[in-house]
Amino acid sequence: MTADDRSRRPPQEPGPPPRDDLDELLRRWHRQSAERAAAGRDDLLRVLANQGGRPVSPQGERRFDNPEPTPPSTGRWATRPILPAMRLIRWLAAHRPARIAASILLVVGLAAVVLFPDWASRRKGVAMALDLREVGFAPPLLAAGGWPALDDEATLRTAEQAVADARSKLEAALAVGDRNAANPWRAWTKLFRNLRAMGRWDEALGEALDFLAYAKAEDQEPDRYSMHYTALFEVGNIYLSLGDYETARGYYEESLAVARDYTDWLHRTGRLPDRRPHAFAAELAVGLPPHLWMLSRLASVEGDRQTAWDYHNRAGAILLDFFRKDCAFRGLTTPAGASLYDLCVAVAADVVGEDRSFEPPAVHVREHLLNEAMLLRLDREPDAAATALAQAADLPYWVRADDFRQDFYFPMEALRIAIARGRFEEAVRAADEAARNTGPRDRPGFPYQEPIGVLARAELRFLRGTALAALDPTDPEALSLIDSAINTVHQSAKPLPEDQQTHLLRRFDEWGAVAQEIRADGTPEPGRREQPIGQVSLASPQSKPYAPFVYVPFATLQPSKKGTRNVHASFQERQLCHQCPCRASSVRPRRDDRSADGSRVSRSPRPGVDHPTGPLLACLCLWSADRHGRL
Amino acid sequence: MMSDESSDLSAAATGDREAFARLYDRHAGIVLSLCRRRSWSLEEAEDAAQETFLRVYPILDRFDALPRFRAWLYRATGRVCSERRRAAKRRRRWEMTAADRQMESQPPEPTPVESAEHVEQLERLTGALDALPHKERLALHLYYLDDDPATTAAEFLKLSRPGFYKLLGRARRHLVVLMGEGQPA
Repeated sequence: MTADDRSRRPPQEPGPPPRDDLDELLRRWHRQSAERAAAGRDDLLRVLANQGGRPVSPQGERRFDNPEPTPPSTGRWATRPILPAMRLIRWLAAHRPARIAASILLVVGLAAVVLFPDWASRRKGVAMALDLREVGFAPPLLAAGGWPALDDEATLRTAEQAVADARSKLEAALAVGDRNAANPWRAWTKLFRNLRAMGRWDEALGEALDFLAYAKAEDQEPDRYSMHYTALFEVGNIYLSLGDYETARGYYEESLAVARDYTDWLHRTGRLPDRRPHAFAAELAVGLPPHLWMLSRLASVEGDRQTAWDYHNRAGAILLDFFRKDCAFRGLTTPAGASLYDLCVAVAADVVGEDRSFEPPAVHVREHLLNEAMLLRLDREPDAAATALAQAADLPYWVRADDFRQDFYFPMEALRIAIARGRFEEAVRAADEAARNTGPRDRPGFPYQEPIGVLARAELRFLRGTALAALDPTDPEALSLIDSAINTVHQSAKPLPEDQQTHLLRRFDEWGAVAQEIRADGTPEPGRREQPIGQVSLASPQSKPYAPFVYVPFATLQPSKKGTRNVHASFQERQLCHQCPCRASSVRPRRDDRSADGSRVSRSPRPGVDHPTGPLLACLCLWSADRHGRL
Repeated sequence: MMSDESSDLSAAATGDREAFARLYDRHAGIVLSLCRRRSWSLEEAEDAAQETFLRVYPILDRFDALPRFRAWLYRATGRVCSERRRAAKRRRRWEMTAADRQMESQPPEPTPVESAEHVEQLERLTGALDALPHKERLALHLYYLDDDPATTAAEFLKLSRPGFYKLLGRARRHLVVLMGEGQPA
């Protein structure tokens, strides 16, 4: 055969590898694997036999508890197609090896939104990946952290700091080395919830998995159960956020199984009565499966609103029933038609009367109820007049304990939320109440003279001033309160070490900007009366039913410089991307403005129009909701 | 065979442990091999493999098709290993005593049957396998552990038969290079 013949011969098709030394070695290696795996077979079967039961979800519940496949929803949520870009981004986000690609894609998407606003507004952008479904999802996401996450920590700046704090606390707790002495549970939970609220999913997942590992290693009861349950639930939440519904469901079900073990243990050891006031134990006590919330949420994000609604109603009914029984158990007389809230209040008051230290029962549950109910109602009846998610009066400052938290933080939360809702008169009233609570300086248990108390009162003055300025920009008291608050912060910072000083001042420097804005705008044109703020703002539940779900940093609500709308939400640095509904109050930024002689004029960033790098989630949610005519 | 496995999957989903055991027999080798890459010891890999099967057992009813089951299983393997590795990393921070550390640093005792050379070769191979790209490694595991590797590869790796063997050849070439690198000069 000549060389030409060989070259003309078709290339040989690849076949199995030859039997050589490497093949023999590989066979030996794999034989070892196979033998070791086979040896574990009996162990596995024994474990399964001990677990018993069929390989179905706990309680025999299949997906959403429906024996038959759920018929496709006919609502507009379900009929809207999922964009391929959204699928792609979800896939990228859910697969760890693709982190870099996902990050690049996200950066490109953001750059596109920033650089080509018109292009984005034509709904062709990658940023559309965060679609309307995510608007529905965002509230439970944020609600998962509860109001504290919404109101205290989820502004980007404070959340960043909270993450750093939680991380250092966690490291400190872990460094102790003694599991009994240092329980990093709270620090960990706070850490990954904040990371979640900020959209840093990968980090959140990593931390949550670490927490899960830690929880699994716990061998002391009841933490063994409660930590494990919580960790699984949180990991499920994060997978859900990443769009990996199957994995999320798996974790939820595992979580449920542990929760049931916990219930059994509580019953077995007779500890249930002790734990009754606790919201979680309260749920367990009545067999309220926490997975009802989970399944409702899953159904909600998957577009099956009817199922979500059904689960939600079941959960609410069970909880209501529990509170009725609990009231009877405590000998409390309650009217037959008492609302869940009334019953909560009655039980809480009773427990306080017994002088017991406790977490207010079902506060979180009630918030979930309100959140979910609002969301679902809006989904089902988009044209119905929406009621506010939570009234200022609903907030838990009915708990009257001589405690800094209850005396001060709860009214403060009421105040913040009232401002965020645009109910400034209520805000002023809440501020007065908080001030009354903090007034008597000899009251035990309140650190009035401690830095925390001083700063808290300063914040109270600031918030009251903001609310007054929103009501009447010419009110001299508003500015004086804000100035006073700023002075207090500066005075408090002086004795601190430099790094703490910087941190403190950075945390509060936005107040100065607010004061500046009020000074600049404080004198309205003669004869011009500002339009009532609450009626047209984001904070108005009447005009914008989704507003309650949008994370609006209360403290930065302020009158705009010009324009027809008086209030706009602003996020970090009081800047919000121009796609947000508040854009009507502003114009595009003009950073490169030049004066008549051609020299560059520097302008301070205009609120509501700059940088879309505030809390991205909220921005995009707002934008997306707006695009879909939800706002 | 495929239909046998499918019927085993259906039966296992209804609680038939024998069927599940057969599924285990078919896939445990590959799962364990995958775990060995991500675990620092064979024992840890065995635990991870077991955990993977424990996780799949309660949700068998969700897999309507065999390829989906396999895909889930192989992906879950990676996830379980990652979780366990992270857990161990944390745990070591709290729990590892000096004695543990000392023990861990000692190589496992070779069994009397295994010669030193034998053990060394296998260790070198393990190291080289660890360094292979995931797809090539999976192809090798399928070839040596699956009853019908080419068909499985077609389903799972979306490769034709020649494509599969080509990948296998590439994996072997890489192995040779990697094992050569690991040898003392």
